[in-house]
Formats: sequence, structure tokens, C-alpha cells
Amino acid sequence: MAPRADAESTPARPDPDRLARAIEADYRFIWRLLRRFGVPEHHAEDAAQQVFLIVAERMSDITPGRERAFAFGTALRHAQTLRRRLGRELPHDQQQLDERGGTHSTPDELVDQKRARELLDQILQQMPQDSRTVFILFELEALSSPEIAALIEVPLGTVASRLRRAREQFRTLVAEAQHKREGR
Amino acid sequence: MKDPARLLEASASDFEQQLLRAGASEQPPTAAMQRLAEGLGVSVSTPTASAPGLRLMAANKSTLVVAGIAGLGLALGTVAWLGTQDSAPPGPARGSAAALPAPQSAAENSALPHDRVATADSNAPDSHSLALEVARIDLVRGHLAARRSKPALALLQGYEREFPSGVLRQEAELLTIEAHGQAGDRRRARTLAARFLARNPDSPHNARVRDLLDAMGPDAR
Repeated sequence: MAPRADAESTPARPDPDRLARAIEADYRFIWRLLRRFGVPEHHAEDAAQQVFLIVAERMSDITPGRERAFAFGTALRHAQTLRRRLGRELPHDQQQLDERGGTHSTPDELVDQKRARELLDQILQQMPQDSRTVFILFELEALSSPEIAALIEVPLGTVASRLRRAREQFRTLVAEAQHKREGR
Repeated sequence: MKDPARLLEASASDFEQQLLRAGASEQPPTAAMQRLAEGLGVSVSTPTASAPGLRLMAANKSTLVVAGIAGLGLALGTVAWLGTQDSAPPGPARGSAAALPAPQSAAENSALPHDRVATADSNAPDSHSLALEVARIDLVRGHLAARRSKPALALLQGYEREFPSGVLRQEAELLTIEAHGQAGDRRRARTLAARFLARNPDSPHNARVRDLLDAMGPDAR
């Protein structure tokens, strides 16, 4: 990397209190989102760290009160970048779901949280991005519809319709997975 | 417009609830946030908030009954986890922020929605990855400029994990040598410097590596 001129290398200092508040408020939220967006567990901490590095870098340009929205958008992009870089093959059909989804248990035997989580993530990855995002934010992160609308910058009605669609897709995919397991 | 009841609270099947609980209850390692704060040079207190999914589950007692042994185990685990959180000492007063450089890349400057992200060759570092590398390396530089070797080394270790074939790998190695020198670990710095010079005889960073060796004293080379 070419050295930068002195004037350019003068560091910009983010407000440390504001940065700390953003980390305290949103670190766990962002970490969990990265996981549900398909980032493997052993990469999640580094990925979350990258997201907040960007938040720190851009803090002076982020409108106060929009820190979570900025981190959320950055996390979405970083999850996609990371998955591509890792060459992670995500399941796109039931065949792959069966191969990867803990096929040795019936639903009643799914007491292993890790296995259940893997199956959940495989199901989520089969949902369209728009539906999946709203589903995760509403059903897993317990955000309200107005909060989701503000976060992803869509009308409230769009959140409602995406959630309806996402629930249908989720239930269909879960039923398919359950049917396959019970048929064994 | 009133929100519908969440699946975890009401209308999901046992199997659906089991899957949702597994996702909603996942938490990052307890020290992860502190490690991030340390890397960024700020202090944070450890929040006691639990995962939202756990709150939903607690609100729906029937879910726990249906979940049987698995749910009970999870609930007990949660209590234990929350106990750990509650007993954690309060964080120190906030410190000063790391000296951060100005943003480097236009690609980094906005959190674009997913569908606007360009799809690139998976083997090539895209602008987002490169910008992330630059951001991390610049943060390290800021720490070293302020003689904060510990957070600098923490960030560099993360860089090694995150970007094993990073475009800025040589830069990171150079900064690692400098950070160890600053931390007083001259032996480690010398070893890394010798390895760097041997591996990269034509690197443009070699002059800087030799400068660092000189700065560490007459026995450093």
C-alpha cells in the first residue's frame, strides 16, 4: 500500500462514548444476525468485529440514532461477502437439506440445540432474502413491525406482507423437513 | 397496525418452536464484545440483556412444558448464563477511542442493501473485502501511532484469521513486527523480522523492517 500523505493520514476520532453505546446496544444483535445470515459460528466473532470496525470508521457520517441500521446493512453485506469467500455451499433443495440437516433424528429427538440450529439455518437459507430478513427480525429478534420498517427502510405494509409470505415459506419448508425425517 | 403474535409465543408447532428456540437463544461468547471493545480502544459494560428469543420463551410457559426435557435443560442453562452475566463486575469508565483514520474506500462508505451487492469472482478480493482489510490495517496503524500495542496485536491476530491470503498481508506482518517491538517483545519482533526478510527478499517493506530492527537496538539485527 502506498503511504498516504500526512494530511490524509490524520486520524479521525469517533466519539468513544457513542461507539461504546453502539457496541453495547447492538453487538449481540449483529452477531446473531450474522449467524442467521449463514456465517459459520467460528467466523461470527471476526465478522461482527469487522462490522463494528466499519461502524467506527464511518461513525462521524452516521446519523445519530441510525447506528443500528448502519450496522445491520453492513452485516448483511459482510455475511454475503464472507459466505462467498468461504465457498460455503448453502442448501438450495431438499436433497441437500437432507444431506446436511442432521438426518439421524426424528423431530422428537431434536434435543441437540446445535443440530436444531443447523436445520433452522438451512431452512432460512432456502427462503428469499427479503422474506428471510423480515422473518429473522420479527420471529427471532422480536422486533416490532415499525422497528423493522425503520431498519430496512420499507413501508409498514411491506413488512407485513413479507412476514406473511415468510411464515408460509417457513412452515412449508419445516413440514417438508419433518416429513422427510418421519418417513425414514 | 397491531403485530401478529410471534410463532414462538403462540401458533407454531412443537417442531417449529424447537427450531426457532434454537436460533433465538444463540448468544455470542461472553467475552467477545469485550474483545471487540478492547480492539477499538473503548470500554463497554457487560449488558445483562438476554436473547430476545429467551424472553419470548419465558413469556410462553406452555412452550416450556411442551418442550419437555430439552426445554428444561435450555431454561436451566439460561439461568446459569444469566447468573454469570449478573455477577460480572461493572465495566470500567469509558476510555478514549482509538485513533481512527479517515475512510479509505467509497465502497465501504455505505451499507448497501443485499440486492445491490455486486457478485464478483469468488476468488478475487472484492471491494468490500479489500475495504475491510484496509479498515483493519488502518486501525492497527492508529493504535501503533498512539503506542497501544496490545489492541494492535489483537486486531492483527484477527486479521490473520480473517484474511489468511489478504492483499495487505505483508503490511500486516510489518505492523506485527512493530507491535511486538513496541510491546517490548524484541525477541519475537526480531524472529518475525528475520522471517519476513527471508521470505520476501524483494518486498518494498524491507527497508521499513530494517528500520524497525535498527530502532530496537544494536543487538536486534
